[in-house]
Order: sequence, then structure tokens, then C-alpha cells
Amino acid sequence: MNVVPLKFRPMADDGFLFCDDAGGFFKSDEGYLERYATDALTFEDYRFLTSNGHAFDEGNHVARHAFRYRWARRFHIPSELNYVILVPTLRCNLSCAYCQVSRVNENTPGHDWSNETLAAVIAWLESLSTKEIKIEFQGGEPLLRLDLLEKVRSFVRSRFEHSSFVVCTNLQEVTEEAWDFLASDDTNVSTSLDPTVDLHQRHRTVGSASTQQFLRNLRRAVDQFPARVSALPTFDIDALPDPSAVIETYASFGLASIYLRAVNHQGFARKRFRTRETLQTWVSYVRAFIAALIDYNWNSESPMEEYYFSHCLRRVIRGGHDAHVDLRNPNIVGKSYVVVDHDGAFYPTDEARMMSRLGQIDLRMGNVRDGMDRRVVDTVNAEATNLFDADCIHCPYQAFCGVDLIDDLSRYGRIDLPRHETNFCQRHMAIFDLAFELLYSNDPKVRHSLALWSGLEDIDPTLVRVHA
Amino acid sequence: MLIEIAPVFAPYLDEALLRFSYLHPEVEVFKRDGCVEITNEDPAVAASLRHTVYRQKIYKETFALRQSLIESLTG
Ligand code: SF4
Repeated sequence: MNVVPLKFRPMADDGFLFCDDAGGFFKSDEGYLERYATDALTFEDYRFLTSNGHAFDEGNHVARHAFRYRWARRFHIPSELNYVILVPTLRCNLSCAYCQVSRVNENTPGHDWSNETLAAVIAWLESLSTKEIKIEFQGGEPLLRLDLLEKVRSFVRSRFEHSSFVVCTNLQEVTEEAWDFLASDDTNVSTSLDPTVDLHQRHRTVGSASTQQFLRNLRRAVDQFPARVSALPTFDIDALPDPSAVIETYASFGLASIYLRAVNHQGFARKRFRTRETLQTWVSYVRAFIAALIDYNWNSESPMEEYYFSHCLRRVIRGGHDAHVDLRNPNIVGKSYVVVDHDGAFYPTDEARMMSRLGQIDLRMGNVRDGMDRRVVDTVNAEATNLFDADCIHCPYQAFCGVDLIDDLSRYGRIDLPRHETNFCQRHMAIFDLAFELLYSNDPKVRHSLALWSGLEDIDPTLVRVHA
Repeated sequence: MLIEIAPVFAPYLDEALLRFSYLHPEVEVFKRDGCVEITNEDPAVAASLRHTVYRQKIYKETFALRQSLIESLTG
């Protein structure tokens, strides 16, 4: 009988969680752990392991194949290049305290695409082989160059069979022409809405007239195209608001998803905010926030999720949830998506663009005029999996987790730190601990929210098995 | 504190202790006859040592199976 490697971790309440490489899991006790480790498994143990997909007879090709299939579903295979982030301008009409991107003042010349860069971007887009493409306009404030957005969108619509667009805008100044642009069904709006209106004003809009202007624009956007607007908050670790105040802010605009993001260590924001030694505070806050959402959903007809926790939960339950670019395994960068900066330079990710501007490491991958050069990025990509990592191979969360080498580079200037010492690892360890704690909870409120977040009707007992 | 180590773990003990020292650099570890002595009285640290030994044995013993599965996955 082959028993696949089972990695284990004590759970917070009692017992141990056991997971295999394909993401199968169960809960058991110390007695089982001792039997497993000392080669003393009983007939009942084998029966359970076989029925839960962790063991198969040598000749049982179907069971072996099924395990391989489940494992394969856990790997992210990068698609062809079909997601492009364009930065037509670095100019911005706000100067937010925790701006994560590089930006310059609205009137600063020389930070927009030139006509020649626009032509090179179009020619490069023309050369892509994909039939389906997603274009994200970032900045700066991209609506300051609506003319460039219009030219790119109309070219892309005519060039590709399927296309969609995202405009990452601060929604501060929106002209009628810009509203017309945003009104198209293939165009989504992604904006920033800080945890509370007070914080939004303190860190972004500064004056109350600007705040009211933004709120009016956000209201108009969610009224006009509710399904196509999303908003992201940024949290200052030293000013974390009561979770219920954040939930209220988002609910008041009909926004059903909140993404808890602390001020990003990558980029310029870290000069003004604390981004180190913040993990414990942050983890406690996330736990409190999830608890508040669980309470809220129990009584609300319009449920709400925390985006990243829900994403991790879905990755636990089933393989193939690879939509979030920072949590993939392997996490190959510079392949299925790239960033084109205001000067036409390619970067593998937006964070890599920040790091280059800060002078930490140059991760440029060529430019739209001379073509793509992946040499530097491919060196990083050679390490982009947790499959053989000396720490991850012992971790029960390996199948659900991933790597974020750009984050490691940004924080530590290297990618070979012992995994358990990295912020990435500690953060994900805490999230998966919470996910399993909740998955094994019998509280109907918890089960209600988990079912909503994971897209299941209910948390089926066969999913969260316990072996006595 | 003395932690008894069953003979079945002997082939994996050196590697496990190396790994334990890397995870707990503040704890000194001495290999004795049939047991391990650590300069720490915390039962959680003792449990961590035992679990590190278990993990090393599981990893080593299932290595060939894991490798053959990975090879069949990656072609
Ligand atoms: S990064 Fe950390 S949490 Fe993720 S698999 Fe590796 S050891 Fe586990």
C-alpha cells in the first residue's frame, strides 16, 4: 500500500491537520500521528486513508492517476501573454499619502507616452498571438490621458476576438467624455476607497470639497454600472479602524468585496508608513475582520467577502484558483501578463516597476520599441515554485500556497531567505491556519459565510473529514 | 530536557537535528544514547523537535514515491 506523503501541523484548538501534495486533507489526533510516524498504521487507518484519497495499492492505476490529476490541478501553467497593464501617464491629480505607484504632479511634462511610444505600443499589441486580451490602464491617473485610452481601446477591440478593459482611476475628476468612456460594457472601473471616509480624506483627498467630489463620482459610478465597479482600501497599520466601520463604508456603496491590503512595502509608500514588524498586528486585525464579516453576513441580505481570505479558502477547497497573480505555484512572472510603463519599458509586474524606480533592482524586460528581453526575469523564474523548498516540503499548506519572489526581493533584497522567516510565509501560514480553523468549526454562522465565500452550497462533512 | 527517540527514527536523526537547529537557533541540541537533550524546558519546543524528526522520516521514506509522481506529472 502506498501512502502519499502527509504533512502535518498542530491545530489551534486540538488535534493535527494532515494534508497531501494534491491538497487532500483531514484532521486527526496525536495517536494517529504516532502510528503514522512509527509505521504502526492500523487496518482502520489504511481504510480511512484510502477512502480519503491519500493511499492506494501499488497496482491501482486509477487511484494513482486520480491523485496525479488532483495534484496537477494545483499547478499554475502560465497562459500565453493575454493580460497587459498599460501606464500611459505617471501624472496624477492627487498626491495620496500611501501612493504605491510612482507618480508625478499633474503639470509635470515628460511623463506621458509620446506619439512614438503610443505607435510602438500599438505595433507591439498587434504582434501578440492571443485571441483574447485584458488591458488594464494604470497611472498616475490614466483618465488624464483619455485620448490615449480611447486610441488603445478602439485598436484592441478591432484587433482581438475578445477584449476587456479595466481603468484604475481615483475617480477624482471625471469629465463627461470620461463617463462616456467608462460606460461601455467591456470596461470596468477599479478605484480606491479607503477604510472609512475620514481616512480617505486624511490620506487622499485632503479637503472636504475634494472628498465630496470623489464620493459623488463613486456614487454615480456604482449607480450607473454597479457590476463593473470595484474599490480597494489601503490600511495604515497604525490606524486600523473598527472592522464594522469599514464594512459599513463599503456596504453603503453596494460594494460586496473588501480586499484587506496594508500599505505596500513595495514602492514609495513605505517611506511614510510603517511596513516592517507589523505582521502580528495585521494578522490579528484580519482575524477580527473575518469574524466581523461572519457576523455581518448572518444578518445581512447582501453578503460581503474579504477578497484575499476567500481566494485562499477557494484554493484550499479546489485546485485551479489561480486568478490572483501574487499567489500562484509556480509563480512565473513576465509571461502571461506584463506592464508597459510610461516610457515603453516592459516590467514583469507593477511591483517590479516600483523596485526599479526605487533603484533596488532593475527588472526591466526590454521595451516596446526593441522587443522583450526575459533574461533577468527568467533567472528569477527558475526559483518560482515552492515544490522543492526546504521549508515548504514539510508544510501542510504547500498545495494551496505559492511564492512571491518579487515581494521577497523587495523586502530582503534576495530570494533565498529561509521561507519561514519571510513575511509571505508568515502571512500565509496565518491565513491558512484561520481557514482550517473555520472549516472545522461547527458554528452555523461560520459555515454560512464559508459556503458563501467558497461558492459551495454548504460545507459538506465529506470535505472536512476527521479521522479518530 | 531529555527527549526519548525511538530506534525507528535513528537513520533520520542527524538530518532532523540539523533542521531543528535551523528552525530554533536559540536552542542547543545534544545527541545522547537513544535520546536527545535540549537546553530548553518548554514542552512546545520538545514537541517541535519530535515533529521535526517525524517529518524528516516521512519526507525521506516517501521521497521515491513523491519523485515518481512529480516525474509523471512533469513528463
Ligand atoms: S511559504 Fe510558508 S505557508 Fe506557504 S507553503 Fe511554504 S512554508 Fe507553508
